[in-house]
Amino acid sequence: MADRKGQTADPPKRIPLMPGNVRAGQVISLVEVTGGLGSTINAARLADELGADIAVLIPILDTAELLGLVKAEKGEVTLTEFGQKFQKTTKEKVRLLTSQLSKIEPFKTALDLVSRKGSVSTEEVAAALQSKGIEWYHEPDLNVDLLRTILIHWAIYAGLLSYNKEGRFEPVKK
Amino acid sequence: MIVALIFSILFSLAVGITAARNKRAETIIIPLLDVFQSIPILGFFPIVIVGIIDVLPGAAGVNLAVIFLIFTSMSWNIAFGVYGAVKSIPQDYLDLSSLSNSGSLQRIFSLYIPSSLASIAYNTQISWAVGLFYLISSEVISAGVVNTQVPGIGTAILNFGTPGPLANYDGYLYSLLILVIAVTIWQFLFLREFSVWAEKYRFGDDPRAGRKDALMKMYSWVNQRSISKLFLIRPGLGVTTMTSSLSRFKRGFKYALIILIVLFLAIETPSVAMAVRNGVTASLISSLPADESVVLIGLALSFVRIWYVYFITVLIAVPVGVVIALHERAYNALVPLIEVIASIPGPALLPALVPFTLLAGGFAGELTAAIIIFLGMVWYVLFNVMAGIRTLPGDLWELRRSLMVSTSQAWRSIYLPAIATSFVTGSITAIGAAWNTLIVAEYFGISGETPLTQVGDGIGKIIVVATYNQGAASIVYNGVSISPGLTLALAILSMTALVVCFNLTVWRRVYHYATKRFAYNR
Amino acid sequence: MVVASSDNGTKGPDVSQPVIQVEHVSLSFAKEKASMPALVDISLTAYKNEFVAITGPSGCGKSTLLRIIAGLVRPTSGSVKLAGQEITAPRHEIAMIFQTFVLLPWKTSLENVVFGLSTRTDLGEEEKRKISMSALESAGLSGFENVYPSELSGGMKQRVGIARALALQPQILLMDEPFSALDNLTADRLRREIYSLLINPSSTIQTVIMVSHNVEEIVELADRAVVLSPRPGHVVVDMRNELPRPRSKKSEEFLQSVDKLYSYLA
Repeated sequence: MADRKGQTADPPKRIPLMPGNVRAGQVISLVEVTGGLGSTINAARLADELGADIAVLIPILDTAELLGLVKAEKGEVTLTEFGQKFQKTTKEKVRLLTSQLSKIEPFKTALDLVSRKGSVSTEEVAAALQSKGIEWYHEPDLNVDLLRTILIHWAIYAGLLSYNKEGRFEPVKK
Repeated sequence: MIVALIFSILFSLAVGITAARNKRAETIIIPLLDVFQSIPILGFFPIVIVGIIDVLPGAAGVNLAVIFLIFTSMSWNIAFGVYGAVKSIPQDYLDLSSLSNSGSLQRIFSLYIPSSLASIAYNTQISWAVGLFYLISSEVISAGVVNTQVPGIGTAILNFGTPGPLANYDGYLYSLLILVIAVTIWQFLFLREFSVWAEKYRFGDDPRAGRKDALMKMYSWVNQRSISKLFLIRPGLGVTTMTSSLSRFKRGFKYALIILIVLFLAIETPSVAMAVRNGVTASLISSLPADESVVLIGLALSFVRIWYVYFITVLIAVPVGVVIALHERAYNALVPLIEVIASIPGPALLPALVPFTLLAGGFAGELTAAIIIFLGMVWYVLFNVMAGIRTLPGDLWELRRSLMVSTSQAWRSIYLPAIATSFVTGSITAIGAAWNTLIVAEYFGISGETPLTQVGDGIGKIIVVATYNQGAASIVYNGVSISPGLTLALAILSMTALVVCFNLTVWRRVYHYATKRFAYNR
Repeated sequence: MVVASSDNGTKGPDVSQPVIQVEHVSLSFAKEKASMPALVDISLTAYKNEFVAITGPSGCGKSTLLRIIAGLVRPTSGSVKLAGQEITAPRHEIAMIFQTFVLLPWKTSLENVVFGLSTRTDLGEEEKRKISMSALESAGLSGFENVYPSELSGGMKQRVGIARALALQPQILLMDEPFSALDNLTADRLRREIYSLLINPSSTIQTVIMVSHNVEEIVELADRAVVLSPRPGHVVVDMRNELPRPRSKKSEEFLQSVDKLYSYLA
């Protein structure tokens, strides 16, 4: 996805972070429903099928797009090639998600810090993101609690990181 | 007292509405209220009374000063209540009133005041208890400072109950009885009716609001009162900005502090200057360290005194509170009773207490002070502990029963963690209140007479003694020669500084830890 | 983590083996000297491998009935039997899942599940931990053991509630509107997983009784729906639901069943 190109720009550009209120399960549902109804679907129909109103759907769509699972254009939602692959597999879903997440923020920074320092707190991730000039998606403030929620929901869910008793993120123990 | 209450309500309405409707005023007023409510106001009373009597001598002046003090003690929480209520008026109502072109005066009477009533009712109920404490204390102090006494229950209790020309134990007990009856009648008739009536003016249909029992009123008040908005500013919360209102508050708080310091200097400079003028330069040099060391030692002793009493309070109030709150019948029967007892100011009980504490011999003064401080603290802790248990969701009790959790396990895993947040809140208020009680607890008596009770040393005693001897250029306190004016100023300043600093450092951290770790946010 | 299939090898309810028998249960509340009947003469039997849903309009006492079965509330008359034995108090064989999750906010996911086992004095701390970890894993929460409830989404909180119930290794699982506090999407995912999670050959759970007011949810999950009437509650209909699993919410039969259940409720 937006892997190398965004990186080389110097000074660092503002990179959108993930919406804070979207859960992995919701994105998976979205991909499944979209795939189940043919690979292209109208957003309004999608909202209806998911039983979610459009205000709830939009951040989910944004997240799915950020993960490279769908493309949304003029109200039409289409599964990407990666999205189709993701929809079809049951066993590989988490692995695909893991590799995808490791390429985007805030996970990239978090993983980087963990590999260098052994463990990292949400506050440290937030500070690192800020020093890179990364701004929050939809929210003007980079709220640490929200960042913690996102890291927990995605990084732990996808098995990218583990969460220890002190509330620090660590590498996943095998 | 009622005069003071009416003034408080009017003042609160004015200040609260202004702060809620005007951004700029909000920035200044709210932090200012915040500072006022967290400092020991009673300490400032001697200055106020001396100031007022200068302008308006005689009984009228003293009366005014007493009313002023009670007014200050009662206003902060009512003002915060009004502010909160007006702030939370639904936007629709504001829009409607703008659309209907009602003038600002009409808007105040048809919208702002009615919507504040419920909150005023609750806060008044509590202000009353606080006010009573100040009533007794301020009448006592004013009787001590000037030889003019205001006729009142506080004066009666002081005169009858303490050694002096008017000592009369039966008369004291009679006054105490009247006080208890008055408190009970006030609690059950007037305030209850007022809150039932005001309930009609409540917005929305929060189902819990209507059923709010007395305890919950007490609880929400305690929180509103003691939890300075400043606590809400978390250290290192956001990497970027805090929410704008909080940063606005922080900025406002700085202004408020500056204003306060200026005010303080304005009040204090004359007395300090006087002390400088009175003392020869040479004696000043030798007296200043003496004053300072007296104040610091007193402050340290009082600090220790408050904390050991606090630990005793906790040991008693926590288990008692949890047990009462867990048993429906005990709770329903005891809470109204506790409410009345809590409204009786500790100092009023002093003369009745002393014959018993005298049995402690050399520790009599210390014991009496401890009991008065205890009475000043225990209700805050007790009510908060009870509220902590009572606000737990009903499902939790079913979970406990269905899992057959043992009593000891329930104490460890449910009750104690569940009360943590409200317990901390209660403790902050309790310690705050304790600083106020010092002024009566550490020295109780009429100026010029042998005090009924006194401790060896303490900041409260220093303040009272210094106040009683304002006229003198220097007095001998615990074998040290000090200047009353300078010492009083130093004592009040350092006590306030200690309280504020302690709030900002220790309590704020504890509060954040507790709310983060233990809050039951369903 | 993602359990998509509901084909779990069980063959549906075994009507030769009753597990829970509710016999002529009535309950009255004393209110201002008068006695207010809340439940009147309710009888129903839940069999082995059966998922029973109790439904009805608000105020029909469905949640109260569930609490009577749990042993939390004593009926005024009648009795509830578990394998022939009368239930008079909460028991180890019965676990409950709540609408509001009821997690202790000062305990992590793992600690909350371990807390559920606090009366199991026969188990050592390490054993309790192991059981709890595997219950969390079954509920789809591996990795989340050190996370506090305040950092979990609603769906995950309910998963902790489910794990806490699973760790108890109960015979009977009672669920009080378990999905009604969740958003549609989350509830949908959880519903799709829960049946095979609860009723499968390796599970100790013999019977699930769920209170719900969501008709589609009942048709999707339950083998039987018991409809109660409004105050005082009594059984209006006891309807079997034999749609094959997994159940497609789009199928004609599904929609027919939904309509039929609605007709009893309206």
